[in-house]
Amino acid sequence: MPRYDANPPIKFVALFFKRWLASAALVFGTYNPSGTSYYHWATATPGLTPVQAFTGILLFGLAVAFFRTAYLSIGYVGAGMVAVLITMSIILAAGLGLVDFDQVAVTTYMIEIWITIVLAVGVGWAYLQRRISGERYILRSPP
Amino acid sequence: MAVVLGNFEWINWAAATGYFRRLFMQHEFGLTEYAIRCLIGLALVLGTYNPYSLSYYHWATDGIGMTPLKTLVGVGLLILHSVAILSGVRSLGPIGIGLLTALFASAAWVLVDNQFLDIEDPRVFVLVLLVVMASVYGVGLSWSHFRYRVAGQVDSTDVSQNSPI
Repeated sequence: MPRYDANPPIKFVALFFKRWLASAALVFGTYNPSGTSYYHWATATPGLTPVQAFTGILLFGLAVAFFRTAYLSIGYVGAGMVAVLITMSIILAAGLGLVDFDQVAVTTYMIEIWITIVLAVGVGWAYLQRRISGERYILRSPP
Repeated sequence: MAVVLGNFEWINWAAATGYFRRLFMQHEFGLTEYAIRCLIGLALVLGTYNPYSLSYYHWATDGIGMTPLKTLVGVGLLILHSVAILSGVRSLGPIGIGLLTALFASAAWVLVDNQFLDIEDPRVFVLVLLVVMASVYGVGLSWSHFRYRVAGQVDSTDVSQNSPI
């Protein structure tokens, strides 16, 4: 049982990177442009084999769980804020001369990395909020 | 040397209770706990009914005496099923239950396709359905713990409202 009266310190880096890795495995495993993904595997042959159907349902269920959890924690506004934060960090990098604006292109990889960062922040946010202000995220009528 | 009965100052209470405090207070929900719930769900479902004539259903319907004991066990099983089903319905919802049923059914399809299961046998077919149901029980009993561990969101039941579940 968790102790609701305690305010345990969180390891922010480990917390965030674990969730980032999990969401990256989910998103990039489902589709990525390199040609090795569930999408390419499932569409290579007509019809679905049982293993492909099982993997597809598993990935879909995990996606539902991740997106639902992230939406409950940060909502559309939080997701938008994270997206703006990433955009601003790119603009800052360009302003500091680390990259040229010409080199910045909106590729599939970039969009997928955005999605994974938003998912990772969303899934871990309740821990951060509890640590900062002591407020728990309660689901009154789950899920 | 006077040994006073009731003088327990020689006991190191911190060390003596430390094991239980670790056990009950800093307990993180992991695969072991999930496996325990899965096994309990399996035992509950298959103990209530299974197609191999060794279950509560067959015992209760064989008509050989012990009616009070059968009633007692039956009510106990009913309570356990209610707890498992209600916690699953609350924590997973219809979407989650549907997805999990599809997931376990497709896993069974994989096994059938690779000749691990022979569902031409009606007993095996019923057994597969029951095991799928028991797996959904197991996840339903674990999902709130998983959600708390992964996302830090706490599931709650508002018992002050007239909630249908």
